[in-house]
Amino acid sequence: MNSKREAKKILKAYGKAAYQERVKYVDSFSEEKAAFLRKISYRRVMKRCMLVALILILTFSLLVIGANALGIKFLNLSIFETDTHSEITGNQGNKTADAGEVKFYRPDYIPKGYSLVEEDGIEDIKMTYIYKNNKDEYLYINESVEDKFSHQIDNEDCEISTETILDMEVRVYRYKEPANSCIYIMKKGNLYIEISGNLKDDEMKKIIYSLK
Amino acid sequence: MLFAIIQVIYDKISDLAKEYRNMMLSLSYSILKDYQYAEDITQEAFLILSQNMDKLDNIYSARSRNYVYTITKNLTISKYRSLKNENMVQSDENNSLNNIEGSLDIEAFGNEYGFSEKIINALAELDELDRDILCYKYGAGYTGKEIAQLMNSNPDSIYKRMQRAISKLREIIEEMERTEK
Repeated sequence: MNSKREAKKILKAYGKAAYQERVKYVDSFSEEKAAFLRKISYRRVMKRCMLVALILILTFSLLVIGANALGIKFLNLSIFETDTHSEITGNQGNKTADAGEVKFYRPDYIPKGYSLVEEDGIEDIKMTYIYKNNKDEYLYINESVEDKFSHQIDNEDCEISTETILDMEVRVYRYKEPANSCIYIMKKGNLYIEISGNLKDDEMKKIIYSLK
Repeated sequence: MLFAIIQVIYDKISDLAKEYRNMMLSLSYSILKDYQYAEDITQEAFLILSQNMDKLDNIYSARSRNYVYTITKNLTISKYRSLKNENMVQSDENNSLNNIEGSLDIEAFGNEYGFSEKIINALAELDELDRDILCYKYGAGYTGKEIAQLMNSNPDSIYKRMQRAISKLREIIEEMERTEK
């Protein structure tokens, strides 16, 4: 009796499995079902693709923004550089000099044809020297204590580099137009100095060497 | 009234063709390896189906799927054997008919259930009619009488075939039990 029941059980299992296989085979040809499944999987695939695309776009944007707005630490200054400009700020909480301790530098060397036209500053905080030549070209020397140092520099069509001049690290911005247009930023003593003008590198270096 | 009935039948056959034609062509081609023969079988199968529309309650149901499959497969196998007799097919019957698309892989099935090799072999030896009966009975849930109608047979024949299959398996199981003792 057991063996008969066992045999029936086997045949029942076989019959069910074979039936399911046949139905599955026929289903695979069903256009409606296939089209529906294609629609579902297409929708799913589209959703996934859109999600991946969104993530990629966000990531890329962040990278671009991050790459463009490069945060650079230079001489304790924060420099944020983008494709069009650089923002340079000193640490506002860092007081580099106390009152009466600030001694501004004056260049001994001034390029031929330039003369001092203006001198303006705030004691113990900042000083600006403005020189001009007979071609109406200007030479600016800005000096400032750290927490008051803040500049926005145009850096389009500009070559940016860092040089060492007299043991000082100098950040150099050299423009294609106008010719020889440049900005040099450095720290000397407890002051941050920005020198800008239409001068070649050797002339700028002479000015820097002569700061006293 | 007659036109309405004819229209209903026509619509049903059209739906049937739309739903199953590709499967029938593919199934018959998989055995006969000839597109012309596959087309002939498909047409013959549609003829049989049109004469048995009452057996298809819902043409999209699993039962109907199994029925259409079975009709097509059996017609194809008959055609195959007649072509073989006329030496018009060269492939070996065992190879061609053991791997009919949509058929259950008996070895995989047996291994999944943990059946012995003898049981698997016994199941492999079931002929196509036995398998059809098992699918109708245990898969689709038809009674013996309904199966007889589907297969254009009589309930006695169906019952005898089932009993034969059960007996064969029973012998193998009893022999296995004797061997274990």
